[in-house]
Amino acid sequence: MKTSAANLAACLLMVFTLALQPLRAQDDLSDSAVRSKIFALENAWSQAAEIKDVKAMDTLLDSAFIYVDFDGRLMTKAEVLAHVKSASVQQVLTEAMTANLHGKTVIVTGIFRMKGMEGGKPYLRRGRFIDVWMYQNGNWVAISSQATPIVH
Amino acid sequence: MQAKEGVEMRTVLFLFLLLLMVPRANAQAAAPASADESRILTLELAWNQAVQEKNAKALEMLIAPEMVYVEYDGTVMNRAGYLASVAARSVHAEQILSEAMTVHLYGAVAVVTGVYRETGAKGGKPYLHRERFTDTWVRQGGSWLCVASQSTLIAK
Repeated sequence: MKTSAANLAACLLMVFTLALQPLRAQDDLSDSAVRSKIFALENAWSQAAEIKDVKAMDTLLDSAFIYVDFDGRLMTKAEVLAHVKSASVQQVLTEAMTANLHGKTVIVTGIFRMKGMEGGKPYLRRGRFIDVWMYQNGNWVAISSQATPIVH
Repeated sequence: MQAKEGVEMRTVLFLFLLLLMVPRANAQAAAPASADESRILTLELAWNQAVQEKNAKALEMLIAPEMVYVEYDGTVMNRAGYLASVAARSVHAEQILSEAMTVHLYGAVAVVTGVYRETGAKGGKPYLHRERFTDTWVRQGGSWLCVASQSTLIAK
C-alpha cells in the first residue's frame, strides 16, 4: 500500500512535470530569458577557449559554423576546434555585449580582450565581435562569429 | 521633387534588373544555387552598387532598422550611423567588388561570407582595401533584410 502510494505520487509528479514542460519551454524563449541564456553561453564559450575545453566548445558551435579571425582568416568549425587545442590563450574576457533578437536567431555584438602567448611572446588583443546564435532542436548554437581588431 | 522620384525609380529599376540577371549567371555554375541564395547574392551586389553611388534610399531597402554594423577598424554602428557614414564618405571609390561569396542558408536566416575589395582614391592617393565580411540576412515578410554586417581587414 505504501509502495502504491509512492508510485502514485511519482506518477503524479511526472505528469505534473511533463505538463509544465511546454510552459517552461515558452518561458525559456521570452526575450529576457533568451538574452540571459545567450550571455551565459558567450561566457561558457570564453571559458572553453581559456581551458581548451574542445568538448564544451563542440556543443556550442553548429556543425556548419564559420569563423572569421581578427586577421581576416576564414575558418571552419574543425579548424576552430583544432586552433583552440593548439593555441596558448590565458584569458578571454567579453564586455559591452548587446543582443538583438530576430525570432529564433540572436545577434550578439560585444568587445573581447584576449591575453595569450604566441611564438614565445605575450600578446593582448582587443576586438569587436558579432556572434550569430540560432535555436535548433531545443538548443542554442552559434552559426557564425567574426572578430575585428579595434584600432582606435 | 522630380529628381528625387528619378532616383527612386532608378533604385527600383536597378534592383529589379539585378534580380533578373543573377539567377542566369548562377545557372551556369556547377552547383545551381537555390532561389534564396540567388536573391541574397543579388542583394549583396545591390549593396555594393548603392555604397558606390551613396544611394541611401537603396540601402534603406536592404538593411533592417535594427542592423548592427562593425567597420574594419572595429567601429560599431547602428543603421542610422551606417547610412550617415556612407553619405559622408570622403573617399572616391572607383571599384567595389565582392568575391568568393558563400551563402549558408538556415531557413529564413542566411549568413554570407566573402571578400570585399575596394579601390579608389583618398586625398589624391590611391588605396586598396581587402576585407573579409560576414553578413547575416533574415527573411521578414517575404523580403530579405540584413541584420548584421562585419568586416575585418585581410592581413597581407
